[in-house]
This record gives sequence, C-alpha cells and structure tokens, in this order.
Amino acid sequence: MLATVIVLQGGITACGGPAKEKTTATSWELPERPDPGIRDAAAGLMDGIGVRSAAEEELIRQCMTARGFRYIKAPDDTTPVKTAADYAISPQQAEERGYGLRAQLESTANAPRDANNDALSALPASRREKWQTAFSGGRAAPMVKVSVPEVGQMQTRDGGCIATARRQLYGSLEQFLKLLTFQGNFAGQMEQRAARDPRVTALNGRWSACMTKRDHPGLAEPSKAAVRAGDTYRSRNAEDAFTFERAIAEADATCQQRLHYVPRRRLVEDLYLTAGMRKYEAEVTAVREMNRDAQERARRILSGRDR
Amino acid sequence: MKAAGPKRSDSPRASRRTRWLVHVAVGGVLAVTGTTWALAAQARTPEQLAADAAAPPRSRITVPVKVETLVRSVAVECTVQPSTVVPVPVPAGESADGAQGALVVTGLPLGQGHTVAEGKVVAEISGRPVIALAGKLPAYRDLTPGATGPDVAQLQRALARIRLLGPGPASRVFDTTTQRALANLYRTRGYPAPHRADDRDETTTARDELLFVPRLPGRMGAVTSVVGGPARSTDLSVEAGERALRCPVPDEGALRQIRPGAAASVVAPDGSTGRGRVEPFVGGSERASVPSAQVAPSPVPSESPTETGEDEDRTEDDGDAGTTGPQIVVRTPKEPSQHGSYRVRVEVGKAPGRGPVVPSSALWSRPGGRTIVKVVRAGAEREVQVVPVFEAEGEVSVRDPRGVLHEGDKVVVSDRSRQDGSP
Repeated sequence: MLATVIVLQGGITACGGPAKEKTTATSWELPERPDPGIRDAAAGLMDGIGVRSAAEEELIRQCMTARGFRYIKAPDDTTPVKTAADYAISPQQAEERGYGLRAQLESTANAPRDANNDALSALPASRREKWQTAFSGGRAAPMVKVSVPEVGQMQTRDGGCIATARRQLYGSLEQFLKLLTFQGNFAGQMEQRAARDPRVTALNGRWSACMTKRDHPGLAEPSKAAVRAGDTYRSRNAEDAFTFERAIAEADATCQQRLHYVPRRRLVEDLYLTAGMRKYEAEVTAVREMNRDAQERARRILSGRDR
Repeated sequence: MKAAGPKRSDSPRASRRTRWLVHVAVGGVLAVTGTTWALAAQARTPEQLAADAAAPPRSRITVPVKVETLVRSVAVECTVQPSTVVPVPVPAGESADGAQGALVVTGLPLGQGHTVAEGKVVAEISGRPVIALAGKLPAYRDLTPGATGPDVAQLQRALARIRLLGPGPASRVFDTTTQRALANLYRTRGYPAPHRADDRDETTTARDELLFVPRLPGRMGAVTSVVGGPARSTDLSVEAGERALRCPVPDEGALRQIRPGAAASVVAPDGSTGRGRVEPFVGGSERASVPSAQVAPSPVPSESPTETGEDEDRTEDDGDAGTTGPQIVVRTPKEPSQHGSYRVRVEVGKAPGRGPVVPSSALWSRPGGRTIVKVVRAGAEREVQVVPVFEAEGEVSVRDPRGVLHEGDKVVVSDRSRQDGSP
C-alpha cells in the first residue's frame, strides 16, 4: 500500500529506452500525524533479508567451489530492526528477568564459532592468502565507494566471490552497497533524529528525574539503563549483577509506565519515520525494487533452478 | 426380409461397460493433458534459464536537481512567552478600612491581554489600587518623607513621565513635591493617597500598591482572579516587553551549533509560516540556561522568571509540562500570539552559495576520487563530474565546474541494471 502511494506521489515518467523511470522529489518536514503502519513499512525494508543472505552465501559457496576452495555457508544471523520504543518491558518482566541480559550473555557465550575462520587458520599461509583473494579479491581489488543518505560514505572491495555473488543477486555492487546500507540504517537514523526532538528530550528528562528518585542517577534515557545493567556483569559476579539488573529494570519499567514513555516516544519516532519515508522516497522505492528482484533470484538460487 | 435396425443393448451390464469405457477415455485424456502442462511449465530452454539468471530488468529512479542555498538546521519546539512577567503584588494583611483579614479582589479594571499603560490601575485589592509604573527596581519598601535612594529616583522619573512632576533630573529625595505628585496620582485615579499613620498630611508610598514593570506599555497576563475572590499574586500578572518564542534546546550538540542572530523558519500552531532570528544569548556568548518561563512567585520582576518547584508526581504525570534547561529565544517580525507549540528550524549551517542540490544518494564515486552524478536527458544517461561542497539532511550542494547541471535535470538515484562501480 505504502509502496503504491510512494510511486504515485513520485509520479512515473516514461523514458526512452528500456528503462522504466520514476521521478521523485525530496523534502524534509515532520508531518502532523504519522502514516498508519509506518513502523511496519520501515521494518519491511528489510523483509526477506534472511532469504537473500542465504542465497548470497550459496552463490559464494558455488563460486569458491568453482575456484577450488571450500566455503562453509554462514547461518542466517539477521534480526529484525528494533527502535528504542520496542525495548520497553513491563514491571513484571523486569522483576522476573530484568532486561533478559543474563540469557543474552549466555547465548552469546555459546554462539557457534565462524567455521570458515577455523578452517582457514588450519591452512598453510600461501593457501590462506589465495583463499582470501578468491573470497574478497584481496588487497589488489578496487574499492567501490558510495554516498549513503544519513550515513555518509561507504566502501567495499570489488573483487572475489563476495562481489560476484552480490552482483549476481542484486545486479549492481554499487547499488547493493548503497541501498543495503540505507535500508539497514534507515530506522536507526530516524530513531536518532527522534531522540534529538525536543519532545523526546523533555520526556527523557522526566524519565531521568524519575530514575534519580529511585536511586539510579545520571541516566540520560532508558537505553542507558540497560547499558548500565550490562556493564555490571563485568564488575560483579553474575548473581549480584542479575539482582542489580532486575532492580534497575524494574525502576525503568515503573518510570516508563508512569510517564507513558513508550507511546509518547513511539509517536515522535513514527513522525520521523513518516518524514524519512517521504524524504527518501526515491531511495525507499529503489530498495523495494532491488529487494523484490533479488528476492525472486534468491528463491531461484536456493531452489537450485539457477544452476 | 427384415429391415436392419439399430442394435439395442441386450442388457444393463453392457450399458455400464460402455459408460465405464467413456469415463476411462476422458480421464486418460485429462491426465495426459495435465502431465504435459505440468512438464511444460517446469521445462526451461537454455535461453529461458539464461534469462532467469540474467541481471534484473532495467529500472531507473531519478530525482530532479534543485537550485537553492542548502541549509542545515536544528528543529526546536517553542512557545510564546513575554520577555518579562511581573506578578501583581498582594499586600499581607490589611484591607482598605484597616480591618485585618483575608484580602479580596475588589476590582479588575483590565482583562487578560489589555494594554497596561504607565499610571494605570491594574487591580484593586481590598479597596486599594495597584498602579503600574515603569521601572526595573521593584518597590521593596514603603517610602516615607525624607527617604532617598534609587527607588525614589525611579518613582520621580515615573511621575515626571506621566506629567505629575516637572521635567528635570530626579532629586532622589522623597520630598514634599514628590509627595504631592504621588497624592495627585492616587487622587486622579480615585483613591486617597497612603499616609503615615500618625500624620494624615504626609503622603507615603505603599510598596504593594506600586507595581514597577521594566517596560511599559505592557499587557495584562494572567487574570484568573474574580472580583470578590481571594487575592493571590499568582492569579494576576502584567507582561512587559515583546512576546517572543522561547525554545528549549536540551540536546547539547544542537545547542552548540546555534549562533545568536541565526535565521529561523517558524511554523505557528495554525500552520502559518514566517521567519525569525535567534536573540543574543543571555550572558554574552553563553547559551541561555534558564527554565521555561512561568509566572514568578515573587514580586521581583525577572527577565528570566524561574519555575516553581515541581514534585515528582507532577513532573511525571504532567505530560509535556515545561522543563528546565538551556533554551534560545527566537524573535519574529510580527509578535507571536498563538497558544500551542511553534515548530522552529534554526539555521546552523549553509552552503557557500546558491547552486545545484542533489540527493546524496545521487553521488557516485569514480576511480581517482572523482565524484559524478548521472544526468538523464532524452532517455540517455550522461556522467557529469561534480564537487560536493555542503551536505545537509541527505542532500548535497554541488559545484558543477562545467555548468552542465540545470534546475529540473533528472539525476539517477538508482539504476540497478548497470554495474558502475568498476572503472
């Protein structure tokens, strides 16, 4: 629905040649109200990333195999994009499991090692270098640089099986780098913009005052409370750290609840997401088109129909 | 001879067999057709397979070039505040007839927003007037004959402005001339002048009856008292000075970027737009670090009134109540007057001049550090070398050494079929 709106707003200009051309205009104004479903629309920029990553891994594997190397595909480690307002916890949850940091730390500690790194370190040095060159083009590979709105300059090497796989999947390495960086950072950048909004800073000020009264001074905003809880695991034993985590999480949850923190912050974030989706209409449309086609190709690749 | 007729089936069994054969034949045909269709759908010629594996179809997304002076700005939310709010003083104690007791409001000659000129009675409390005069020093004592000091000089200057005293330098002594002028002030407003308890001929001042406001004319601010109701200083106030937009800037990074005199675009609560300028910061180069303007609880006039203390519950539950912290003042050519939030964008950076502006995603790098934009004209793409000079809000002001870029030219943001990363 939103995609349709964006295309219609931008207008479609027929152009000579085979290219379909869409012309869009840019502006940066906060709307009065957020677009309905804007959060889902923003998160939707990353839809299907798991399938595309898996296809990319498969293409890299095929390419490395063709060059006489073994490549073990990495598992899908993509996670949904979250913004600060998604981190809210209830006082009950806080009391039972804090922010869930203990479980996270345990799962990180038990995370599987990178199988390729292990295999690579077992190879002789000369073979290792050839593997690296086959994989990423080595130091001789030229750099591709792109400008990404809200992020800045990004660069990657144009060489080896990674570049080949991405080009095959997305059509253009340059476009891939530009749009993947954009889609991966968009929600976060809008969240940062929202965090600087006077309404959010005022809200954070009241949250901070509330936390100070609950013996947790010096915290600028809720995410810092979770950071402080996480830091405690480095300075105290796990049991004490967990006790502290639950206490600070409970205070945080209580303050957030009393201030109606989440709906207020979420509203401002949604305004920025809406403004961002409108401002970067061209980029958003490009991301959707690129992903749509790459998704088709990824399915074909994973089903073995492209071999 | 018998004519040959159609041969009839002799039994129901033969009829059933015929029907069964027809069903089998039809089913067979359907099965063969379905299988053929399914196989055909799966089949791929080498050309089809190549087409599937080929680069995606070409699709180009373009954005028109703008020609403007690109500006980087900081967004703030502001409310209208007068530069000064002075509460109307309420004397502790005595009513007009000398009786002790709670003071009541007996007259409210001016409504909220009404102009307060010098010498005007702004309120009547228990039968006694409160008269507005211009002056920065609050009336902090009752003046008795012979009193000297800057407050006397301030009173004399005020009386001279409303032509109750002759022109000339103030004597700074509360002398008989000043007493007469003061008595005239009261009399012309319909009240007897205050006097010493032991001498009815000697006019004095009552500090609660003279309201010194830094600049007049001003206007009535809060008028939440009612005639006959209790007199409270928080219910009545006079505003002085032009209204301006006060904008908290809690983000230190943003605050550091804002300079006095910076231009600002203003969107009023009703959606109307205008321009403004950031006022010099309080304390020279330092940003103002004052709380949101509220009615000051003390009768001392303040350029930056202080907020009353808030308990935690009010702070937490009061929604978007005022917060303390640094703020800027934005002055607009037309005095703002609307209730609600003004959205203000303060300019904190600017491109060196007017020039082509493109989205930053329309910039492409080329070996050797060159930056180009791809311009589409008549369906054909042309690379144009540019020099980025200023970036803001996802857009870049570029220098176009050859002067090729024009307003409305379409530059490519996405062109997936081309692999342009390589030289």
